[in-house]
Amino acid sequence: MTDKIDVKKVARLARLNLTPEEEKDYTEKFQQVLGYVDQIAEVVIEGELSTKDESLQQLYRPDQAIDSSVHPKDFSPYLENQFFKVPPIIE
Amino acid sequence: MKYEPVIGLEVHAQLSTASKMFCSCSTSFGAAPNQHTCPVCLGLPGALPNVNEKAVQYAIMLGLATNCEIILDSQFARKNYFYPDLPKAYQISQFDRPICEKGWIDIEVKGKTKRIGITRIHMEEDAGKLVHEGEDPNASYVDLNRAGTPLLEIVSEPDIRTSEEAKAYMEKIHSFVTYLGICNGDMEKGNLRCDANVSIRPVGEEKFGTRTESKNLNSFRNVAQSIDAEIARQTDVLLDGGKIVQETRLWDANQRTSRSLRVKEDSQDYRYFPCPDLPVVLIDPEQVNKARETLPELPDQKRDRFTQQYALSPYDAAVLVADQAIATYYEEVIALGADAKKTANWVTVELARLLNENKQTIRECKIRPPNLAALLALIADGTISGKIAKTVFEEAFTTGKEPGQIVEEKGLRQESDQGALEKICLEILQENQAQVAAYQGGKDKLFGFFVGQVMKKTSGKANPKLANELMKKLLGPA
Ligand SMILES: [Zn+2]
Repeated sequence: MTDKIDVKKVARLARLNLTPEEEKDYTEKFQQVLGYVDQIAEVVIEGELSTKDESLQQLYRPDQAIDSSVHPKDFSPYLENQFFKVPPIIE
Repeated sequence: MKYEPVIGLEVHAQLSTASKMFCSCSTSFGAAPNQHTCPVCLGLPGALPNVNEKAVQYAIMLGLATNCEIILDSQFARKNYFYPDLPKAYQISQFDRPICEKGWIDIEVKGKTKRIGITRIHMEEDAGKLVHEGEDPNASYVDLNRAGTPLLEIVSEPDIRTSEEAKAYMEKIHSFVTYLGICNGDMEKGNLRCDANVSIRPVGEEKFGTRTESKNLNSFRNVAQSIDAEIARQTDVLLDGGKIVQETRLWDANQRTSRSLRVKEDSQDYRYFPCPDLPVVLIDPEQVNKARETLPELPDQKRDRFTQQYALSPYDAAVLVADQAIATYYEEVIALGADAKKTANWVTVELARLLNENKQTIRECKIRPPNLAALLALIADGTISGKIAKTVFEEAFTTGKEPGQIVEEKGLRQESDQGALEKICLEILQENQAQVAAYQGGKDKLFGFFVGQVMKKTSGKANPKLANELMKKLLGPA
């Protein structure tokens, strides 16, 4: 069985403030997800899984700059002077 | 108690590819905000990354140059964290299978060579840029033009013990990436940047102390100064009976001090996992062989060749090869027939000084190799003295004029006419009879005074060797 998950820590990494109720709720949900992983881990496979499957070969792209014509100024409502405006980040 | 520092550096080199790591957006600088963007680097749903062939090739080149093992089936991994400059909420990086491992480079400090291990070199993408000064003081602004730019992160072993070694290591990495032409090496623009992991431990202790990571080191000087400051800070904390906290610190180059940025996250906090969008990076061994054959002459090889071919001291050779453009400049002057040793002196002393004072690069310098060769020829054939040559050199540096033209225009030709000089010498003896008497009475130190007077009277143009000889003859024994 997988270790109990530290929801408080995960929430901190995700920059989320959780209420005690949410914490309890997420703890249960996370445990369920980890339960699925435990199920997968129980599957017996022959030999080792290979990542070198020919069908999975990396396809490379030549180094050529091409404009995508997908620019936030054409569709994003979150811009100011073409910058994305976000809550203040204090370093 | 005496402490010993243990230092490891993580260097990020922005690759000089035309397009980004996983999409075809341009990497060029100076576009309007969020202009070099596409669904991939904006992190839009459904977009899939596609690896830049050249970035992989550059990684192989740097790996070979730093004596690494090239991993033929490396893998991209997702590094998960939340920050506004990271649109996907993960950075595509490499984790347990980087493209290069177990290399080393040699650095020279105080005339001694030291080998520094390279743990790994991995490929990753850069984040966007955060701007804090906008119209709204209660907002930050994000430009994603840089997001997805290819980076190589070069991680050293904790083999470095002093700030001087760290600086030498950084300079070596700088010369490698610029020689290979894979990164323009501009540290001020952040194209080559460095994080320093520093810890201290009691001398003799095997176990490492708790380390901190200093970020934002964008010059060789900052690398050295921040490390010295961090060693001092940690020593103070321990001597006061305190404990070092594992944290990320931000170096402030102006204040020459650092402050805690955040408690450093462990790698498990980043929840790395293989990127499911990208298959294994398979590299053909043939490609590695070909890359090995086409590597350019690297700084260490060039330094060894310079010491042999031009009979230079290892120090002079090292100074010349640190910047490939300087090394090339030097060899162009030599090719025009200038003396190797004298050229080395002019390039490493006078030229380096003026470039530094004027914040110029060798490429911007108005004195081109043929100009310096011409100046050296003027000294060699006695047209001007070494001292006057410095004046001519400075003038040429500012104006870009031919040294020969400057000499003619300013009448700086060396006075080597024996008759004319002898006349001047006699005048000086006439004018300074008291000194002559003192000299002849045994005050032989006055000799310099007489030669000085000759130089003064000729505005420095007298051939110094000839002036010496004539004065000696005219004054007779002291
Ligand atoms: Zn893009």
